[in-house]
Amino acid sequence: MRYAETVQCHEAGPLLQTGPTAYHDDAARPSAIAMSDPFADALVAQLPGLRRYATALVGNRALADDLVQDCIERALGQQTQLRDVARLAPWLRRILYHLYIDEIRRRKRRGSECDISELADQLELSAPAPDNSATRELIRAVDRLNMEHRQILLLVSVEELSYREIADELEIPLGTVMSRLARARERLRELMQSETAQVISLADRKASRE
Amino acid sequence: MNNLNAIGDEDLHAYIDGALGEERVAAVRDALAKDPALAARVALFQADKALLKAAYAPLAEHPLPSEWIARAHKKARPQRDWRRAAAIAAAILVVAGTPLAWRYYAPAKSGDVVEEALNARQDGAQGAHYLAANDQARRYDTALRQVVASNVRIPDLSRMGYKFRGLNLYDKAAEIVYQGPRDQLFTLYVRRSDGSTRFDQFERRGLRICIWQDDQISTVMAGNISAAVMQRLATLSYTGLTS
Repeated sequence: MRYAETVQCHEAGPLLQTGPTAYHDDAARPSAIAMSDPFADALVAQLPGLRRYATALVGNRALADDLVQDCIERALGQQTQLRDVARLAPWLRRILYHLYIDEIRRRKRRGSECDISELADQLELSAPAPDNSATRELIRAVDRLNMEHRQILLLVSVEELSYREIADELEIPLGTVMSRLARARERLRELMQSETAQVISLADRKASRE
Repeated sequence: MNNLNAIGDEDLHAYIDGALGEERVAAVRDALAKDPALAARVALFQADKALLKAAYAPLAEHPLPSEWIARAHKKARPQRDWRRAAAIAAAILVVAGTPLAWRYYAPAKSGDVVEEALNARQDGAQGAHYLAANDQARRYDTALRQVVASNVRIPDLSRMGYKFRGLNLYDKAAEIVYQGPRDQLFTLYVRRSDGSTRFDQFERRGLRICIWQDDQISTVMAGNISAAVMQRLATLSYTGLTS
């Protein structure tokens, strides 16, 4: 450890020069000119997590990125409505969710659907070898869940929110969070089993043809 | 299935999520010990939960499009009024006659900030003023602000088990040094930005690197850590630095 030794050698001393370069008044310090915007900084810090949530929720990276971009625009336009910056993450997820609902309605009118295969391929490749086929089955199963079930599973398992935080974010009672989550997990299990059965059945058919 | 009926599905899921009170946890554990089928079912749910977390985790590790970061900062920054701009211009004119003025007002020259950071990390305290960690937190913040010439502070990474060990001060940059839970070194190199924005994560010289740059500061984080840990440390560092 390079620094363990250094710490012992250097007791904290007055190593910084004072005098002309020292600023005793915040207003006179150059940093006061270059101050960054706390909302913008907090927003940027939330973007990696928001993008993950969006992609998992919609099952398509291109659409998720469009939604996050729209979400940034909307958040910047409505930032005065956010009273507590500590609530930024749930506030952004709510905005994103509503944008997605609007997008679903538009797509229904146009009759276009997203393809889950690309995301399943990408995440399958990212997963460690023992987990990659399970990852693919999971992504497909999650895509077949209804929106409520998908959302609550992601909030608990990926975003790691508490039940209380989820109740506040979705504006539903705590009991509803618990019962919805139980149903979502049961449904995911059924779908995972059916995905596995399909994979086995396809493999059997292929083997019998050979 | 008496145990299941007595406990209920919602209790089981709350148990999986660590949301049960101690008394109910004991009741669930007792039921699981007595009912292997129930224990197997809970294990499957736990495996699904872990797989969900692991499967989607890489999605947060992709570099953000730089235009998102630029957009967030561009629109959110409050417009300066002309009086403030004039005051700043006057202040710059007053101090422009001294060499020190340029040191503080000029953006850092564009070079590879990542190489700079890695060289600093490799050289350790050589060529730098070093402030070892003690209890005078304010002193480090002041020193950091003077060198970087921006309103930044030493981020507190103790939530992730990283202890602040000291601060290396260079001419126009600083390296904040942390020691991780398994004695691993994590460094945060900070200097003035050249005005462009950048966010990226990659490996270089055997280290995981994250560069997070806005139009004010460049930060280069380096450590022998996983991408997922870097993602969390980077977020905590950047928000702590600029909060």
